[in-house]
Amino acid sequence: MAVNERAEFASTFKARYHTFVMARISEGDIERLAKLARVDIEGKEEKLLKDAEEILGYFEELKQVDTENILPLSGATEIVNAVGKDEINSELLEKGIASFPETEKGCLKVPGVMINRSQNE
Amino acid sequence: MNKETLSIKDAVSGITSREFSAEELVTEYLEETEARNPEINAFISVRREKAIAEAKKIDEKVKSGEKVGPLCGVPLAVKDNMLIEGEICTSASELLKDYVSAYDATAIKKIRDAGAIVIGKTNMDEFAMGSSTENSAFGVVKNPRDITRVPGGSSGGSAAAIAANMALGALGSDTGGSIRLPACFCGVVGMKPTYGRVSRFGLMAMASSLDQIGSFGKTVSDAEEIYSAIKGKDDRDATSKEAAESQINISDPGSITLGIPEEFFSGEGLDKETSQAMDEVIQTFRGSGIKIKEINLPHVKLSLSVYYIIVFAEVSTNLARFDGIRYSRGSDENDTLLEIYLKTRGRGFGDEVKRRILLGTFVLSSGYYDAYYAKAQKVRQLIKEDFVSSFSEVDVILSPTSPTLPFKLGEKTDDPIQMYLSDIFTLPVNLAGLPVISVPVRGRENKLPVGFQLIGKHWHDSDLFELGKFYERI
Repeated sequence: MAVNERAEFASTFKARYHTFVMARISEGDIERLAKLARVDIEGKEEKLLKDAEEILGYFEELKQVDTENILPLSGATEIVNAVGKDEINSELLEKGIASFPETEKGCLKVPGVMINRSQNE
Repeated sequence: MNKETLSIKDAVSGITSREFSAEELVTEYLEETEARNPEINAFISVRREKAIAEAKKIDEKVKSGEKVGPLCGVPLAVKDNMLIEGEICTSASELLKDYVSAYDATAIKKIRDAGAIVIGKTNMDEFAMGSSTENSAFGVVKNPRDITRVPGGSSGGSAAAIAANMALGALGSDTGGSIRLPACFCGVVGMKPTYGRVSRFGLMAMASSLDQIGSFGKTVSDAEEIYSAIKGKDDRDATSKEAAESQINISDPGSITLGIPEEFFSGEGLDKETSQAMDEVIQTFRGSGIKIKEINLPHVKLSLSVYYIIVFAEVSTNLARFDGIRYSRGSDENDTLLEIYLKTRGRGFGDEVKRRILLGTFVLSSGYYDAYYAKAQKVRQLIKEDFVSSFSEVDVILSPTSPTLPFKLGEKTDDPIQMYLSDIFTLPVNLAGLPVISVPVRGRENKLPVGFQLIGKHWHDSDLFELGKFYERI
């Protein structure tokens, strides 16, 4: 679902502006991004939109740089294929479980995913 | 003892020779903390009882002639984004105000193995996102050198704790300047090691390809003592690495060339007083026989855009873990799963964190990934290459740490770009993964502090300590 939402967001954004314009973003876009990122921004939409416009506008300076044939850099030091042993650390596992907000019988307890709570009441 | 001048080495030798006890030393720092912290707000939590109990154990060891570590009894402050097992770690976020750590960060384990006593966890910008330590759920930190001004961020509490003599040294984390800017603004030394020199295990991740733990001290030597204790490969951090510390020959200053990047000195943003102070620093080095060479780093002017695109992207993914299911619950009973996510994150995160998560989600959206994130990674390559190629001509690069003097509290809080520009000189170094130290310009005891950066080659961290100590004594 999230993947579809993202693809849909991108296609409507593109359709609206057609050509790529870095700094233009609407209040509706901000609200949809907030929903995608699962963060409630009620009451902050206007300020977040203004900041986003300014910041994305600033980023336009990168358009002038020729990066043809330049490889992307994801980390600045040369560390290749760092591998470790695939071992269970039972001490850390126990501590991790103990620090989880809710547990039951040594298992992690999470809210139900498939439940429609409003119907349960 | 005089806390203004006490060094880590003096403290350790005082304790091991039993001139004073670790308990006395720690108590003295705790008393200073109780007196000054209500005003400065450098600490989120103080470990009074635990610190005293740990100091007593150190004293017993000394008494019985047991072997003690190089930080024996040294009271240190630790940024509240590093985990101590069984203790609350907040990252200055409302969302984690009750979160109890399940294990020790490697850096914490190492300083404690070396005998250090953690006296408290320091205030910071929420999840280390900020340049002024005003983005904290636990209130702003004030600069001990002028309480109407910010201490710099995001490790502002750690720097302020040292400047106000509430700790002898500190740990911080630096993603784009978060150790160096506070060190500069508070008039202390702050060092960010080469990316990978210090394990990030147990450090709450902000932007994983840039984050690095480092040290603070009143002097270069103090920062070095702490650095020596925390460095090294850790199996729990796959990006950590053991590497030889090659060294410049400081006894022959004429053999050393210091690079002055034109781009860091010619900008309109550099204020006059900082510029004058930097001229003095260059003259001091030149007078000592060190060669000075002008260099160019043509792509560094793009660092701010590159840095923030990468940071936003990494923040939005790293902070996805704070979902209201793990770590903490911040929603209401009978909420649906979607409501749990939205409410926990909406209530728990501050404005800057939300801003970064939204923009990170944007730059990673399909269709925009190439234009923003991939583009930024390519320009990051060019920035790194600028540094690497200039290091074929010079040994160390010198620049101001901050373009301005410490600014007033509240001055930049409504303008994110102005706030981001505070780090214009510090963040290129993280993009390139290089080691760097910020050292206070001398002779400014009665003025607002100015700091300069010494930037070293990859893994040449010790060059910076050597050159920094050299500056302090010439």
